[in-house]
Amino acid sequence: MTRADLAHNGLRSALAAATTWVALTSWHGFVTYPSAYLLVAAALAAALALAGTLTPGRLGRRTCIAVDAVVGLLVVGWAASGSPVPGAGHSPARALGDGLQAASDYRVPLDHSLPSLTPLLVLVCAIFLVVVQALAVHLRRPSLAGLALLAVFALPAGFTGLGSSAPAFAGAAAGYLAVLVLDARDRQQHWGRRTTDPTTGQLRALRSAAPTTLAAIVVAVLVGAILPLPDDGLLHLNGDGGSGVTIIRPLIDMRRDLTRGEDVPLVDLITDDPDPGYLRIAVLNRFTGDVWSSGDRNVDPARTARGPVPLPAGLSPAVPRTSYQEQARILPEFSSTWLPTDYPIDAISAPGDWRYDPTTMDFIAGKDTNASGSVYSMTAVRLDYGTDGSFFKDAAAGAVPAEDSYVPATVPASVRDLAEQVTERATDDYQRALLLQDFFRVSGHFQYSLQRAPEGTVGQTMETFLSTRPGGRIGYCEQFASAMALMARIVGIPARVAVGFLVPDRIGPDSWEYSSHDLHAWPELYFADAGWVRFEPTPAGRAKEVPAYSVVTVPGQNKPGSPSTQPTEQPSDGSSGGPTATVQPSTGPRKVPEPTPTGGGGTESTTSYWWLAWTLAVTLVVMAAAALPSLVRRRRRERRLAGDAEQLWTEVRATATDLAIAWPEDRSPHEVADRLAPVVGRGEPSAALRVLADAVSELRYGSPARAVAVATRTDIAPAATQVIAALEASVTPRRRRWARWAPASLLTR
Amino acid sequence: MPERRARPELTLRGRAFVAGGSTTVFCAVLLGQTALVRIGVLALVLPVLSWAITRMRHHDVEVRRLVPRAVVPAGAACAVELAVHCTATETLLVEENLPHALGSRPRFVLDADRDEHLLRYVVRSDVRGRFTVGPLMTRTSDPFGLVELRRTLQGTSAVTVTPRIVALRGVSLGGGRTGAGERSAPLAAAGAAEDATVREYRRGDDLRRVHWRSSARVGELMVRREEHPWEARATVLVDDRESAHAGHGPTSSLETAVVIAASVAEHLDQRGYAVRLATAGGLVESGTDQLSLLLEHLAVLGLRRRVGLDVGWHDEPGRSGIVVGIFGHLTADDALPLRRLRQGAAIAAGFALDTPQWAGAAAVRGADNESARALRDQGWRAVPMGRTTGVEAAWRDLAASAEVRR
Repeated sequence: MTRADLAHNGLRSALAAATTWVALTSWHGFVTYPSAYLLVAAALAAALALAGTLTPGRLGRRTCIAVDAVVGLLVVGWAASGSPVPGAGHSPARALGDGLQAASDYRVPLDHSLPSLTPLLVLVCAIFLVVVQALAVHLRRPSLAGLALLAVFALPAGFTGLGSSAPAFAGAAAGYLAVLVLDARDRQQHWGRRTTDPTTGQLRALRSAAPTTLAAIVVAVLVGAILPLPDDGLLHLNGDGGSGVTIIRPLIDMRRDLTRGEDVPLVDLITDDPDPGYLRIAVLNRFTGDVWSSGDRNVDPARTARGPVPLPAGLSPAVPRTSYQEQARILPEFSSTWLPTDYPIDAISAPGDWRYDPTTMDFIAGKDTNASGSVYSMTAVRLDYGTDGSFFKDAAAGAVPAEDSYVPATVPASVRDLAEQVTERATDDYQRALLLQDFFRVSGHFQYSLQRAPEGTVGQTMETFLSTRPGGRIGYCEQFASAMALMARIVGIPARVAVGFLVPDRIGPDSWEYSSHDLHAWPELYFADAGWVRFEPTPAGRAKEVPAYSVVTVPGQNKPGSPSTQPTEQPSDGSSGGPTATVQPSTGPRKVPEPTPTGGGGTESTTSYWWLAWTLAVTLVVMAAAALPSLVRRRRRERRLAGDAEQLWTEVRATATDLAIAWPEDRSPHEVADRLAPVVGRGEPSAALRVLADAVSELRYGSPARAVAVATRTDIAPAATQVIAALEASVTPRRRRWARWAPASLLTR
Repeated sequence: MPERRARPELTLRGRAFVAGGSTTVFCAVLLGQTALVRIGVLALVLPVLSWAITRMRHHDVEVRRLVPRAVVPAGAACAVELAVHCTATETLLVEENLPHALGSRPRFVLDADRDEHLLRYVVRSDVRGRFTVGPLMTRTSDPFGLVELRRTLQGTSAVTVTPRIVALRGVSLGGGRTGAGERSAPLAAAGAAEDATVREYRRGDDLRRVHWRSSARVGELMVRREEHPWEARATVLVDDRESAHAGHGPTSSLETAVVIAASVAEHLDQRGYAVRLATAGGLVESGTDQLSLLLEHLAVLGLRRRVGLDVGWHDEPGRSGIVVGIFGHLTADDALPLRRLRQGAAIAAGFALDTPQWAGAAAVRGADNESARALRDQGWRAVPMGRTTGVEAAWRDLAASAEVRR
């Protein structure tokens, strides 16, 4: 194999492997740490590229594919068993099986607490890499390889509904088109007898294809971006991720439902409660150090959603209460395996196989049950804890499952320190809870922003969220709820995260509506006598109201930027239960306006700056794009005018093309000159044209000696300039402008 | 005068892209998948863009074809040279149009790294005839192979393939040393220089043969004919009547007749005779006394519909020298022309092709045939010629039969 052969095969293999890898990056949504599978896939891609380069083509296509398959198997085995030597390490089959099980049991992205999906992903990646390599390189069918790449992109679209990111698409498209160009060139080279070495000129082919490639990709990305496409398509298919709002893995689904543009009504509620509050969907009580999850549910078939249900554990009978009748109707767009219910309730009547867990009091679907479309009634219990903290006693040891107080060892020290620091003035758990809520809503200068919120609540993210570094202290309800629940656990309060709806919109007398933009998450903290109670750490920009019992001033509380509407009375003493009542009446606790914190500018104005920046950037890009053709044209002209007679002639021709002046095809230079003479005008320009035509003819058809003589002539360049000027003068100014900004010759040659 | 431009066409790959792209866009819009819309749009836009660019792009291709030896014997190689001047920036594929007889169409890949390409290929035909080489077809395609632009460049050249010649070594038809045809031509020419006739000068004639006196009189360069005017003249008559032959194409009896004619003509030419060619339609005029022209004529000889043999060219009794005829099926109507030919010729010898054999009949070893008999009846020497009979063997038989008759 010659060096040229190596380069020839290598370029092709490397391009195909890189293209597939770039396409595979669109799967990052499947796992929380995509770098794990992407690194292995990159290693495999590199190995395949190397194999494609070094395996001699004469071994035959089958051998080449077999070599690739073996390389793929080795890498998959390595990724699954953790050992590069086959047979060592743990069983790859088991790792794959676990991954498969996890993939079928949980919704993507799978987090780290679950069996790793990486071996499974690596296997599928390897299959795609080997298939694309076989089709594009060994079998020389890159068109078919395109179908494989289409499948790569279709997979995440079918699963998560998020699709691929535009950069991955653009990268893969560019790579694929390059492979296509190389293949087309190869085919051309094998079409007939060659006059040059077939292994050269690949780069030239790629270069000549570059403008078309770029234009096609830009058009595709733009069309994809501006095409007004309903999220669920034109068919309104009622499928997973296809329509409406789906809640199966509450926290992860929530963000997607919040970020989608449309605010879809999801739940209708008819109630005699004058002011219905949050609706709970599910409770996440297990914290693994990475994410909050719903943990194990004790779903005894006997505990159905038909009839009375127990009130939350730990609730003192002494707490004053009111009961309201509520009837909920879940709209068809809302698909959930959790039943949205008020909290607490003491009776419910819901059709279908719903079961509840007595500690979390959330309702989970049995087999083949979905909340979508169901109508059910419940009796909500409104508890009036008052504002004196008398029902908020520290939880006794063993009152709640250990899981509800568990703080994983992986929680960073900075988070622990912060929790202690925030609550250091408090004397009991109730005050600690109050200080924590205040920290998130006011004193910590947090900003609510769905767009700029970090992805997930994983360790590193949590630390960033709580830090004052750039990018820190910005998040949305998921981060606020998780952070507060975690910090509550750190300071010793049992805590969990609830997912559900914020306050509803009124749509009629006694009739309320919860919609997709009302989806929310909040922490629930446990106190003896109060049971599990809701707190609201999300800033007022999002969650306007907080429970009355949670806005009690703690002694010595430092409130920077605290607005004037905040209660100003200082507590009379610092003892437990001492905090003074604030302005809220005990019967209507939910209407405390809490303005945006003044520090940090707020999301609103930042958003408008963003808009300005975007508009500016887009304008600049558009202007640059508009100016590009004329710049390229000018450069070409400069280059040609410095060249020989042939290039000058080409430039004259290009000018004529730009100006839409008919240029006779397939004619000798002299004939062209005759034809153009009336256009440029008799006399001097016409003579200049003739000089130029003479020179070109000499160059093309004359003897070498004459050609050399032409090359040394100095009068032709000025002649060309003169002809070009005459051509430009012969058309209307409008056409001249058009030629300047949209030169047609760029598209020809 | 805007020239009508060839339209680019989508290749199979291009069509697949359009079909796949539109399907993907359709499904993706139905399902609301932006990621797939992008892919579909890309697959759809690419061929359209390539088509538009290929259509707008134009390049000049000029081709000059040179065939250094335009007349070649069957089976011999004939080189064709092409000078292609192309200003395309993309690879140009050129394909020469060739009739099947000349072999497969040569294809060349011309890279855009230079404008001038010199191409050379060789054609070869075992079948006689005049063949057209060209026109040249060019194709260019976009870099992705989605669109193809085909053009045909006008301009063709002709290649004449003369019939196969079987060497008839050493056997003289004249037989013996007596009779009208006994004197060999060079001897006759060396004899009476004075009454040598003259003819116009042709390229290749030796300057020493220029007959200055005649040249001065005529005003053009004349040369002496070295041949003896009448005795060294030979005529090869090919019966090219449709009714006389059987079989089709290269396997027809006419082909065999042409091969025999060419071989005999060449043989006689080498022995110094001025060979003329005659067909059923009469003498083939226009300088048929030069072998190469005669062979060229034989190269394109085809069957013609006529009934009788025109022997009007043979009106000087005894002046025709040798007449060698190659006949197919002869009828009673041919008796008279044959007799007149015999009378005019010093020697009249005929190959009688047993045409039913070319139509599929089995050969009967050693059997005589009707045509041979008809020839002999008119005083011709005749040899029956079967499909598998070798030309040289038949020629020897003919010469031998002459010996026996005399």
